Amino acid sequence: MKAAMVFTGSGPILVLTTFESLETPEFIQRLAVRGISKFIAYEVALETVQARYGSRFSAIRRDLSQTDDLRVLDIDGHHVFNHFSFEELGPPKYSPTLQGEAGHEAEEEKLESEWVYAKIDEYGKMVEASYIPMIGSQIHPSVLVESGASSNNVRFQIDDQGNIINAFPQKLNGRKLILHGKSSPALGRTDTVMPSCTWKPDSSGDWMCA
Amino acid sequence: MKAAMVFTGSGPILILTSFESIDHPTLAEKLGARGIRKFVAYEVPVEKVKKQYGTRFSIITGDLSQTDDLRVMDIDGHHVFNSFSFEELGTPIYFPSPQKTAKA
Repeated sequence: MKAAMVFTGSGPILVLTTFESLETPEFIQRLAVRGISKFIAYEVALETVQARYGSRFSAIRRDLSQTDDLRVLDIDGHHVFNHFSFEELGPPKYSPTLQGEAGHEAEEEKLESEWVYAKIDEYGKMVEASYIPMIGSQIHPSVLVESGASSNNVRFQIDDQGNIINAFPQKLNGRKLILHGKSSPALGRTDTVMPSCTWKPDSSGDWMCA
Repeated sequence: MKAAMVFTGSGPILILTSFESIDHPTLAEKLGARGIRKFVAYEVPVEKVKKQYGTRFSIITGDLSQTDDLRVMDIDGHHVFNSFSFEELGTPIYFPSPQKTAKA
């Protein structure tokens, strides 16, 4: 587990994460789905955070999955900034997202799919889906179904990078959908798909790239 | 003249200054007088600021004294943050300057 002070355009926030590094693409994606597509992150010693935040730290840590998870501990910029001295910060890590794109607002094309309603099995595989070609697709990292259930009802959208957004349950947010489909060239891939289009149902019941 | 992106507890601001360097102690005092007593400052290219802000830049530089002055150019954190790539930032200057902690 790591803790980090993350500087954004509206001040720093403090996060806890079980990602191995603050530079892994998955960590960056997790921040991106929270609206932070550009940042400077400084690692902070866990013991220091624990000492400063006490029971609040413990409560957030309990919610944190063993691997590949991220939780926001404090969003009060002034509080975060003044809670740690510069001596307590690690070296700055710069997000790669917007490098080379300065001078332009981050005009992210907010491409989103239609809502997908699906059932996933215990391995995160979609066994039913409102969009038929998605059946057999995999949610990565996988997510365990609720105890006592053989499958889980979920709903979500994906963005143009294949990231799951607006999901229910929320724990799916930030995961990737590795598509396994047949009806469209983009969907015919079994690796992580990056559809540069908005997916809409077509007249035959399949989806088309609009 | 120098320009710097200054990170505070409420996001970055952009400043112009006629101090010879952005780690000048009096510059930190001037920021302190504006309520900024702790910051991380990155120098950014003045030419880029000029290009980015145009007339606004000219007006602010017109107000800037020849020496030892400071003017705030932009307080919109998101705008400042997204106006410069990380490659355009200089070495971070921390204030107060980190001290080597003596270990017992």
